[in-house]
Amino acid sequence: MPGIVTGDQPPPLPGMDDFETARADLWATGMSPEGHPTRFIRDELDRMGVVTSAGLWDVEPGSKVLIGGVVTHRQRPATAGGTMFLNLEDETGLINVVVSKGCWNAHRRVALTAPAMLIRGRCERSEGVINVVAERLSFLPVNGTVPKSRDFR
Amino acid sequence: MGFNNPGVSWSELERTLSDSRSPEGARHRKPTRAEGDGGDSPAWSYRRPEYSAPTGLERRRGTVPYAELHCHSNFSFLDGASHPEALAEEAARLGLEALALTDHDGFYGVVRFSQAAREVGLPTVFGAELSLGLSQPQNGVPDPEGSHLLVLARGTAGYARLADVISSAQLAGGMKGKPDYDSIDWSRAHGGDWLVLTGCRKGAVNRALVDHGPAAAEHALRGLVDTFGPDNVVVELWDHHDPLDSARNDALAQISGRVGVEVVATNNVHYATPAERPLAAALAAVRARRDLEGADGWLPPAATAHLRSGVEQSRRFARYPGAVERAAELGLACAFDLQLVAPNLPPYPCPDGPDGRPMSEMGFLRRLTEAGAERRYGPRSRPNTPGAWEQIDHELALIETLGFPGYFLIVWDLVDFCRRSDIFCQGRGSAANSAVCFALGITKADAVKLGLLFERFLSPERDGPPDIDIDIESNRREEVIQYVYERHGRRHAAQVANVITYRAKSSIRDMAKALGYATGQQDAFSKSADAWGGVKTSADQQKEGLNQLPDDVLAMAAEVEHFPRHLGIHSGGMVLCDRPVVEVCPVEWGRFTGRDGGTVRSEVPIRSVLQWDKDDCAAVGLVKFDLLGLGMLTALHETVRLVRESTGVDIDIAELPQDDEVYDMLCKADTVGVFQIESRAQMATLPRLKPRTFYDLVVEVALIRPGPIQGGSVHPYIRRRNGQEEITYLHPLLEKSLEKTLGIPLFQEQLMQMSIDVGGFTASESDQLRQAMGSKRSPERMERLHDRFRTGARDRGVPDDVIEEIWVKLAAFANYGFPESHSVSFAYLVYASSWFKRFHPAAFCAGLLNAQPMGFWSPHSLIQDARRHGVEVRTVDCNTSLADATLLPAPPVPSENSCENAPETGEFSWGESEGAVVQLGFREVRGIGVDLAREIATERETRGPFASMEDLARRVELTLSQLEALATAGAFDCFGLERREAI
Repeated sequence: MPGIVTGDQPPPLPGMDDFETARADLWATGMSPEGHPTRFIRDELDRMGVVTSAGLWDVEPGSKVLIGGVVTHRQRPATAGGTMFLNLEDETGLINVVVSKGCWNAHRRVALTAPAMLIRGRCERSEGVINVVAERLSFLPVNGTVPKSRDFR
Repeated sequence: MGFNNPGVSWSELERTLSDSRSPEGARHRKPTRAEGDGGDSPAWSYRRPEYSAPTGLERRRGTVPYAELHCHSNFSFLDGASHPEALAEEAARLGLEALALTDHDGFYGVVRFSQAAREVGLPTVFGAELSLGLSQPQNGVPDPEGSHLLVLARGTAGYARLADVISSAQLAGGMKGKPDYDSIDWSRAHGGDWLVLTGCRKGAVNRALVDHGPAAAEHALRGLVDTFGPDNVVVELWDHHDPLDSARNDALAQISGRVGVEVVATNNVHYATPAERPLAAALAAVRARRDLEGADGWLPPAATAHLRSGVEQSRRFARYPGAVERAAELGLACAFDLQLVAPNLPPYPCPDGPDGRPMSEMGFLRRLTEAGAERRYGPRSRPNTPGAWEQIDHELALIETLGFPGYFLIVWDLVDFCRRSDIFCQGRGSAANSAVCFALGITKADAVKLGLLFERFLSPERDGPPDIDIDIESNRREEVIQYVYERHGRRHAAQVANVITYRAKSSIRDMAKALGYATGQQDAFSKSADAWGGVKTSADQQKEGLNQLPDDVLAMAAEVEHFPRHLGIHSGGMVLCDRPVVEVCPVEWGRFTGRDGGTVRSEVPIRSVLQWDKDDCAAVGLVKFDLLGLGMLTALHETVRLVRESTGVDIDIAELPQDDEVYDMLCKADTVGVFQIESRAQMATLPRLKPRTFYDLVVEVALIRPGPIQGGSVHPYIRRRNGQEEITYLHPLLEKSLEKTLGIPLFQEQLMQMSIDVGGFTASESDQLRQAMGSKRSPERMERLHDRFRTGARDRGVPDDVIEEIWVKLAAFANYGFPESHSVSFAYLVYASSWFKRFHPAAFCAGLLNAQPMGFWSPHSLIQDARRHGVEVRTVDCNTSLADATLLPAPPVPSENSCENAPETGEFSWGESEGAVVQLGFREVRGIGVDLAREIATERETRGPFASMEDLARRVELTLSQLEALATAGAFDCFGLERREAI
């Protein structure tokens, strides 16, 4: 009812930092305008030598790379003979990943369930298109909510 | 009770034994992904393969004539355990005189049944078991309530009357699965065209006998005779080896004698052979929503409800002379071939002409077309496009000859409704080959200027009307569908059904449920199933140790796979018919009410749906219109609205200028959010294709075949375009058709043009060739066309080896071609969405958000992409947000949040958007639907801003979790509340 205020002033709670705000955004709306989940672990990723989507343009084609990001899509096109395609997203952009049938089966659980992944593989580039051919997949702990991937549509 | 299923499915076993083709595998098979689903292009739509009988199956003649008059297929959902085709085959094997299909309250399976029966030479009877007195849908009830009435149609008139009665009852029930026959006037409904059987134990007569004794049963039987006439009622005897069956049959025979009606033997069939009995039991358990043990008390004790031969039945019914023979006589008397209906379109109500009398359909179409053509092409005397009027005349003449003016008028009327109601729509598919469609405003592609081949759309040899599909902005499609119901009436218009069948995951889940596995296990099993390869793949994986699925579940699942589970609604098909369509196929309510979102809402179902899927409709010759929802049209409409509201500029998407900067953006594959070319496969081809003109986009749309291109192989067109391969032609005659695609055929129209230029085909012959080379190839037809091609090409001096080479190319290409007209229609949307992304990124981003769910990328990816292009996106704010995403003017000073994380200016950024900021809407917040979002926004607009969180909670009814979600989303940050405090 108007005029009625609930209780006493509670003790102030600590404010949310950027990471917590992003997590709250993602939980409540499925998107976070200001923060991508990987932004908040970038320091750690840097230490591990993880290359960003934007950074792949500076990588020597054919060399080994370590990439990480949130899985946005899993695809298994009918015409690709069992090859899987993943899309990762970090705060700088998108990365295309090709996963062979063998690699998929070897990391089946990660491949099917991980909301975010670290992927070691070979960076391929031709005519303005970058693909990372995966060799090893592992879970990337991003600590909190991530946007849900769109799988096998 | 318990049973062990053999390790192989029955169908496999049967195949092994009989060395024939698998009855399940070959014909009732749904497509594997590779055949069916490669995208939304028309080249990939799945059609049910035509039925072909197992080799060597011919109908025997039984020594004792008998016809089965009471038979349920698996279209008595979760009751019957055999496909209609399997029943027809088994009946032929047993030498029955005829077989009736009597599913519950519908004609769901009759088309498949009659197709199979025709092939195996079995006469068909059509009927239904009507469920009287249902108070609610009976799913989950172990022993459904109400009584049954078994009606067989005596010929086509009875069929129409029965379909009409079922439709009326289904619609009167007001919801799916609850037909209501109360208002049916039975004595008027039958017209003497029905044969009524007293039915199973749930029939009125048997009910009365069991509950109240012979006198009551006699009374019930006299009731039936009074209603339907003494010649149209027979007493049904059946013997399932139940201890009481003989006693009941004796009592029924006595009563029938007293009343003076005949007795007839049936077997109340629920499956073709005894082997399907465990499956039938499992299905019954699933229907009753319990496991087999829990359902045990209701399940029949033995495998007896299968098809029986005349010999077997006559042995069983020796005590009732004539009962078996009478079944044969009645079956033959009622049998007819379902090729009854080739319905036409309803007449179109035309306005009066200059003479004061209503115009003919052709006259009206001609007037509309000529008016449109004058706008597009200039007056006849001074045309601005050479050849346009000649093309219009040619098309109109053909439309008149083929008798399709009404079809075009119906489509024109739909498009005109969309125009009047400000709904974005666009014809797709081969209709874009037609100048008449362009003049009528049905399509946006100028077929004359683009030089598209009309005969791909309509040619004299095509049977049936052409195919016009209309894309409609997805969230307003329901308005158009409801307009069709209103315009033509529910008795004449209905939506097409989509038969939802058991797939690997659902069959494994339901069979695990029936076999008594715990809910958690059912979930785990169904999750670990392979969604693509079917049950067989999951079984193979189990052998390799990749999953832990139990053998019994896998065996049962393999049998139930591909069974119809229930009916859904086809994505957009509507059928119109000159006679009431409800007399051709019963109509029932779909579940859809439109309650959640959309612009048409209701608490009750609003879509009436046929009991047939699109293949059934096509087989009977019903004309279908496809009204498809397209999210991108919604997004574009929203974008146009947002641009108009924020800048005052009204943009007409038909008049967008061609702009190099748009193509620059596309060459960089900067296409997140753009129609069709935003997915990964397309993104990968863009930098290779480097589109610079509109026609390049047409090619790009057609070029994408996910696998080969993603897998690394490069399309020869791209090699040629980038100068890595020489442009060659097998013969100079091919230059005309293939020049625009650098010698590589990409479009179906090119295939047709090649046959015209090289083989001397006429335009309509070339369309025959395209059809003959489609998915359903007939060797004789191909051979005839091959000869024709060879002769024609020789006349043109083409060497024999080149002729063969071209022919092989044509044949190989036929299945992969994409209609050029379809590509053109889609390319318009590609360009429009690219243009907005380039010049109005904020409005485009908001438009996409408001059209969700759609497209390839999630909302999060979309706003991340917008950010990278210099657009600021703000989270929900209780005093700024509307229900949908909106644009705010750019802030004078950077807001608190964004000064720290100023949008990164990446390589793609042009940061010269109209300076707008995207404000997310309430509906993005978890747990807040469109309706509630609108309520919050309306409350604020009518009664002023919210003063505090408490104020909002007082003025709008919200649950605690909805309030929490708003707080978590930051909607109360504007009160200076820290989110955590607000929560």
